[in-house]
Amino acid sequence: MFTPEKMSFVTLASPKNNLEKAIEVLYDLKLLHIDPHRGQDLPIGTPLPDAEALSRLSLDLGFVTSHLPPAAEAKAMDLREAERLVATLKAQVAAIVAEREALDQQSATLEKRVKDIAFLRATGLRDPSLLAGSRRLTVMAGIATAPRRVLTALRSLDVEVFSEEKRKDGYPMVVVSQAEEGDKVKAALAEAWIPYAFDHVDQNPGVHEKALDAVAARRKALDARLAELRKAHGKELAGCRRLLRERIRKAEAPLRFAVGEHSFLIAGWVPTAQTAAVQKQLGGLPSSYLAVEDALDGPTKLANPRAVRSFEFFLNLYSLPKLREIDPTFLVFLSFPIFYGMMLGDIGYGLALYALFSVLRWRMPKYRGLFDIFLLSSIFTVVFGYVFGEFFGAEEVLGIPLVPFIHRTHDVNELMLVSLVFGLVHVNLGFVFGFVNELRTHGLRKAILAKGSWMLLEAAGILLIVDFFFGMAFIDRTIGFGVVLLSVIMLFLGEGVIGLIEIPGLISSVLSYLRLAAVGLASASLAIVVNTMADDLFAAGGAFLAIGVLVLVMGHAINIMIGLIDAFLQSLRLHYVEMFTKFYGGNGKPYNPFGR
Amino acid sequence: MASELVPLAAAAAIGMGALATAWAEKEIGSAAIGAMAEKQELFSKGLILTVIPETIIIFALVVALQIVGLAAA
Repeated sequence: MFTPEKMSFVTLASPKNNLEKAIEVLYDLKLLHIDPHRGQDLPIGTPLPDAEALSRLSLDLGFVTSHLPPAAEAKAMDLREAERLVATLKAQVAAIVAEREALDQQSATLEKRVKDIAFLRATGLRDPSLLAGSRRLTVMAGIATAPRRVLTALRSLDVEVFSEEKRKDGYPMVVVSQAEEGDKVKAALAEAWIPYAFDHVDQNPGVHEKALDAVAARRKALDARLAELRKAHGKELAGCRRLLRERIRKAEAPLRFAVGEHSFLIAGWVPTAQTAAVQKQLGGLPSSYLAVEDALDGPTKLANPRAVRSFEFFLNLYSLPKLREIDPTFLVFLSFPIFYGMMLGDIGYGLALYALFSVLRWRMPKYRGLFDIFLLSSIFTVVFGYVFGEFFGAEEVLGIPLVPFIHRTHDVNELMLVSLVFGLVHVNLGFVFGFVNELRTHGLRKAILAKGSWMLLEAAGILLIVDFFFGMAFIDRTIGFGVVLLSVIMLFLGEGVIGLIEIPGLISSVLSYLRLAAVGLASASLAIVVNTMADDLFAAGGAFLAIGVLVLVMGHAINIMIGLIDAFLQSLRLHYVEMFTKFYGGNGKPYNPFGR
Repeated sequence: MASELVPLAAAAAIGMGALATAWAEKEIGSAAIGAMAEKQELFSKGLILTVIPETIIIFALVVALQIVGLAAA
């Protein structure tokens, strides 16, 4: 529970003709995290012979599935079936797609024609043959965005202007002038003019629309055909995809193995508890050699009880522990909801959030783990709400008064003291974990010097503070200072100068837990403000009643949102920044076995 | 000390602390977002570094509370 699962390092050496069999066995076992061979001594292997054909098939499948998305459910397929299906579908889909493209082009041309006719009609020009211009006449078509300015600019020139209807973007206009004045006209128009290019104008209103309808109908039929194909083959396509993914992974596996002229070598990690299965399965390969040894280094597979597992989320977000490092998930499981609950601490808010996250957990099964964290945190919010005697900021539930054990807005000093105690315990748990980590990796001496020194320093420091500030002497001051000096020397020996630099950091780490009281105080104060505002409105009566309800609902909703985010982030921060830094190394690689 | 200055002193303590926190987090936050855009895995490190200055405002709140508390005593 406190360490990632134990791993064994497995090496298999075998004649080359066993390669495919070994890959099959390992794929089905789904246990070996391959240690990729990097090409020292022996070259890396080449993909299995069918890899190229599989890649090509996969490419074709990619084309087909880009138009026919596979179904969620997959039908089991073999390679022959997959090849046949992909070949037929590829031909059909390609034909449909090509026709669809042609139709799209056709419809674009037709739409342009319809637009041209409409434009011409708006200018009022009756004879489209004029648009072509001639040696003597220059014809310009466009949209005048500021018609008055255009007309003023054209006044001194010998032109004829056609324009009848206004459209949203301006006045469609055709300007006809003598060819020699064309440049002057162009200059005059430049200011408020969007040129319009005609494609082809004929006088067949209605024909193009009809043609467009036909194109659209045909396109719809093609889409329906695609949908039909998808419905008919969706499951098979999903099966193809799964099959190909598996086959390609198998075919490309030798790229991570060492393969010589006559033999190959596979190395990787297997959870120690499962080595027997690997030995049994691979033992069947003729004239092979299999070595299994305890791994000191390797991939990390967190091993926590089911209830705790959702909290592994925090480690995945941060960084996984190394194979032989402490896995703090269980501690996070214990302290995260407590910190969260202490900061939010309100029976009403806890119940509201519990309801909200129950619904979300049910609606979004993908994030179930995260919502489990929130649900547990909500329970602790209710618990601390009872301790603080708060229900939506009020000190009563439905007329029954709540008796707070600690009143958050009155007993601020007591609450801060409790926070500091939590902080001391939490930070010291970090040191204890660090001690164990050092003990495992560097031995007892280093553990005492590097982590024991911190705890010693803390103990002496607290006793001296109690002595100086509260007049309670438990030890002689000389001894106290002596111990402080001793622990500082030990710290220097254990962690070097960095350790000395971090001494003030220890104080700020512990004081940082004051946020448990501070964030809660802010949240409680906001709730009280909302309630007071609403009470005043209720007292005013009449129309204010409705506003009061609105203030109450909106105010508490906003406060819950703020509290939710703040409590989550602050609690997370206390773990990551204040506690993990005392022991956590991280940088572990996730265990990712071949075949899964 | 004139007692009407006490709330002002507390407000100044927390207000300046808040400004300092905001400034520090702005600097760190924008850098962290930049790093995250380059490398998604830096999310947690970015988050942690961004919230480090939160401690300033917590201390400011404590100081403000102490000012009010000591003045009342």
